[in-house]
Amino acid sequence: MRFWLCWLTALLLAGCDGSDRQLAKESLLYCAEGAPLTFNPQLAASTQTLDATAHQLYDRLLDINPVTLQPEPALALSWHRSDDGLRYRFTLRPGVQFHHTAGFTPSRPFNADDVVFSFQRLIDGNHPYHAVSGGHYPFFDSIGLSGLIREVRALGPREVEFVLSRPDASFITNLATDYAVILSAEYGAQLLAAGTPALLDQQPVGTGPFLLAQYRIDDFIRYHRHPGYWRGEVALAQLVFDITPKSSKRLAKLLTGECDVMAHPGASQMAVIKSHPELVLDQATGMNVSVLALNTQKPPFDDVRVRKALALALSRDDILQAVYFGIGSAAESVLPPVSWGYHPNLLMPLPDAARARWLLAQAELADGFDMTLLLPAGARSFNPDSLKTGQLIQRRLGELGIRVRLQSLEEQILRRELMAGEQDAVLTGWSADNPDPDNILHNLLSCQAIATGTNASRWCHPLFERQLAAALTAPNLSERIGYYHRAQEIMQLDMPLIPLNHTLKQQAHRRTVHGLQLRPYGGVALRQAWKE
Amino acid sequence: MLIYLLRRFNLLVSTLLLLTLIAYGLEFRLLQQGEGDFWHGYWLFLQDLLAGDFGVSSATGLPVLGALGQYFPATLELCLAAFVISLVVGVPVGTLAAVRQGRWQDTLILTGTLVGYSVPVFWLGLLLVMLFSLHLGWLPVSGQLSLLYDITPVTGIMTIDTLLTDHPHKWESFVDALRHLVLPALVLAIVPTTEVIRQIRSALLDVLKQNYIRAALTKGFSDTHVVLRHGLRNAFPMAIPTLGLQFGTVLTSAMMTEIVFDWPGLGRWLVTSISLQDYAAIKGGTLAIATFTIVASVGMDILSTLIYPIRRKAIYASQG
Repeated sequence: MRFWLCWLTALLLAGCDGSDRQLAKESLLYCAEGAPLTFNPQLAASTQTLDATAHQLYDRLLDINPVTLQPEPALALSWHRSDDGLRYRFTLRPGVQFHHTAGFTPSRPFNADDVVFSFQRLIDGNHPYHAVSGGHYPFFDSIGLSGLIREVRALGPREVEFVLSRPDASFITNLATDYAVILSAEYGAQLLAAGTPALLDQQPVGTGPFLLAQYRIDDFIRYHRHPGYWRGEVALAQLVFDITPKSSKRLAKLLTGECDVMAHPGASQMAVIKSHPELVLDQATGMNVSVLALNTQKPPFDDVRVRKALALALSRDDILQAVYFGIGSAAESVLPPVSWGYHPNLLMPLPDAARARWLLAQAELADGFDMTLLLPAGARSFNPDSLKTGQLIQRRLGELGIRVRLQSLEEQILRRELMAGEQDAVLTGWSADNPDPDNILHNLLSCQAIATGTNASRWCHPLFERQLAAALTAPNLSERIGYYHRAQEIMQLDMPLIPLNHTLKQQAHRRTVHGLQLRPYGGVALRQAWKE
Repeated sequence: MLIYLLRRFNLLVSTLLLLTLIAYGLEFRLLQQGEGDFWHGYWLFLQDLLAGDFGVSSATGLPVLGALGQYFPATLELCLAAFVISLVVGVPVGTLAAVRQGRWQDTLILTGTLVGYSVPVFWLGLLLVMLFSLHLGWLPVSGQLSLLYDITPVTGIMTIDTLLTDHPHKWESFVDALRHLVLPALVLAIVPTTEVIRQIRSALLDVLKQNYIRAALTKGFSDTHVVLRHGLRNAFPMAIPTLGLQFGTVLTSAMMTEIVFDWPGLGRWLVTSISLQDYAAIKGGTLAIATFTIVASVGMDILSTLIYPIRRKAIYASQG
């Protein structure tokens, strides 16, 4: 009996043996903060979706070089812009293989048809896949891609031409965003013939470094190495996204080795991570902003005096200290200071309760009012703790007699609410997908972005729109900068949303993991990761 | 016996019907705002349930029945493990308490059961994770199996699936599944263990007062022999029905345990479904858990009667 007890205890306490160590070395466990909404990043604008899919499963025509921030070849070897800025011609890389999965065996390598298929789906309302999985493409809808691209056509198996309806300076960087992934036209045709087109977005096929092996909803995603990857074999045989919404649990798993990498550590956890000998903390400049978006189509927020009163009531420094533990900066505009479109002379007003009260009295709301503030549940890349931020806002506004009810919603439900547009206010934000200022301004504030729910203020200002449009066709950079400065001035005069904070992008990992890249924008890319 | 079985079966069916009626009533009030014919709707609802159609989850777009099939085995695994622990620990400790009635060992055990019964499950879970996972590093923090192992679920019970697989790391994954099971099963076992101790103790005390025990002692058998051979054998069947009722309590505590340990079972799934306002999943999950509790309790009742037929006579006698 005693022998058995000893044996069982030894067995339970034993760690890994030799073969196990090999398995652990070839597998990376990534603790993510949330589940992807879909396996096709074209369909979602959530960080979790981009992290889990964009760089693991797919490639784009172009990538952004993380150092120079300039576009560089990916699936397209080279590109050429016509002198009038209306035609872009891409030469495609030969011999790129799509994933072989249980449901699909590709008969040919990647070619121009796949590029046409991927973009036609987005821009052509009559495309058989356009309405599949909801028919909403938040990012591309908000930048108005269907109005911009007049035509996309294959000039040969390795050549594609995009014809634009107007010159657009951000077009190339938008093709390098995480959303502009290339899907397989052959797989699309096969699913359409089988009558199951929705599987295109649920059981994905791409050209990326990993292929989807298993997904247990809200639990984990298992990727296997793509054997024929065009950039060369990936070191990891297996990549697992362990979906762990609570940051305390992610940290606990990182400490015990059940996770190799932890997404979005909380600001309060920095001290623990830094002091632990086996952990490393990565920080990168974040192209992000967290904002309090007020529904400008709904009273009393349709009154600019009320919006300004709210802006004067809040203390962005308090939020920075309490929520971000000082990691980041108070926002003076929606663009972060690292953006080349940032307006250096534009400052947000300092907190001034007396003036806020006076403005409310002017709006005949001296006694305050009731409002509901929607919060995303869990951590976001631009806000590690929305609930705490919400509580700080609640307290500050309470001092003005504004009674704020907080309502924390899961990502899916929050999106639904924002698309419906009935909310009073929401705590939201944006993490840039590329270095172009248009990316943040367009998604958070343009008229087009109202329908997609990313413009939660539902603000549509003709003068502001004109600046954005002019910036995209401006002949040189200094003029573009001028338009973006004016756009920010207009935004601040009308204050449809209150910029709160910018933060650093952070990730923690075990010392045995190497080759991780923390990019200032977009989702994580794990293809170069390897373990000791 | 047949009459007894029929009665139990009758109880089972009527309780289940009542349950579906409540479930449908809520749905009728909340979702359909009381429109249409209630009884016709209820009849259709019952037909769907009998055909295994629990609706489609709004969060995943997949049938709820499939999710039930996926998550239920994990909950079952946890509950069974906790039940085994509660018996393995509870029976000897309860026996010890009965034999040492009134002495310090008995007092200590009774105090222990009271403490164990009152400790909140989630708090205990967090404490154990702090000690065994974070401080000592002996056991994993959460989950059912390390995600390193790509084990295809067959039964959904990982300790069995790891043995059925032809994965090259079969044994390592089995050990890993056991390691994952230890903490949640221990936490979940606390309440039923205290119950087993109390039941065994009181049943054994009753038995030890009987004449045949005295007779055995006067015959010269040792105390241990008498307690184990005659006492426990007769006390055990008396305790079974009350222990059977424990399954409901275990299932409820399992919900909390699953959340603390991220155990991929029904409880965690149900809580996620609630946060996603996934009504079909909430309805299906609640019905499944309630049905299982009722079936398990009636099943234990029947089982105990089969083992201990005198109980049946006792029931009839009390009914005059």
